[in-house]
Amino acid sequence: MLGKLMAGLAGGLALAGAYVVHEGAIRIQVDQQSAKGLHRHLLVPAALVPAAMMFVPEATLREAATRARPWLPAVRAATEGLARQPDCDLLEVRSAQEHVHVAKRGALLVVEVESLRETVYVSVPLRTINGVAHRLESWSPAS
Amino acid sequence: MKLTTRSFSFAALVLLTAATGLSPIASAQAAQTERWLHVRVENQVAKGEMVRVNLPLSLAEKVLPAINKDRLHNGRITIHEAEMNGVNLRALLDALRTTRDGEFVTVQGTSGDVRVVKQAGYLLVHVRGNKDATNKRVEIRMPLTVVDALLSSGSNELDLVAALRALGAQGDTELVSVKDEKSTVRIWLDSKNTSE
Repeated sequence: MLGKLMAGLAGGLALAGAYVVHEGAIRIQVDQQSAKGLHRHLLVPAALVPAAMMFVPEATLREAATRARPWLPAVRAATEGLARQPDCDLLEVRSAQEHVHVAKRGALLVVEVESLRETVYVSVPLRTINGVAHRLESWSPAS
Repeated sequence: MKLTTRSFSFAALVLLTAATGLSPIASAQAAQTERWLHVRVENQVAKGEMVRVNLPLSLAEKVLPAINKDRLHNGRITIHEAEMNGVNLRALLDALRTTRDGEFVTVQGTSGDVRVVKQAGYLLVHVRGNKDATNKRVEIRMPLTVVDALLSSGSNELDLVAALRALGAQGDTELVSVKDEKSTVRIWLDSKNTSE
């Protein structure tokens, strides 16, 4: 009996692990250049995003959804289209003070911003962005 | 019991394979046929300042119809004659499309020269500023099939998606080149996903 329970638990964990791997992770790194600067490195399983959205107040979600409404189908189309593309650099802006780089790497959208004050790195699975856009669309009134 | 464990393991393996194994194949297939629009802006004065954009045309084709805001609907942009200072842009483009090859506009002035030519399926615009004035050079090379595609929808609309499709059917080509003392701008089309 205990063996069956353990096997079930192990299988469940394996499935949960596979799901988390499948959904990918959101990585956020903020490094301020000053001596006492902020250094924040976050690695969040993207699978948690739908669950986290359930804790956002309904009014906030509805307002965000209404504002973003005209762009949500475009966001979904862009993420679906990008997922089928090879790795590529989509945008690069370089100036004396700043360097902004947006790229597709594997299943991730990567945004890097380097300035004199700080370095910010964000990578988000395209699937997650698509899912959030989908969810927001269901919250917003149809145009 | 063994069967249960195996079933779970198999399901997990299938999910992992789907997550990691299949997307590169799809990406490789897309890479073979994809056309890319590149934009590169370089500032000659402040060395190192630049903007680079690499956009897969198929992506733009999918995203544009999804934007329904202001004048943009279903990949088409509505044009109002009244807001074009009396110029009927559609009639102008249509006239250009149907007329024979030739040089339409030639301006030779003290500040520079302007030439607008229809030649071998392309609309060519050359602007050259005199060295004493701006020293600016502008070259625009627009395939006329793209103009055709733009005009393929309703009377007061320009079909941007059809134009993108027509652009995608072109070979590697430089569409716009602007050079002056301060900056260079290049817009071109090829099958590479980098702008180097």
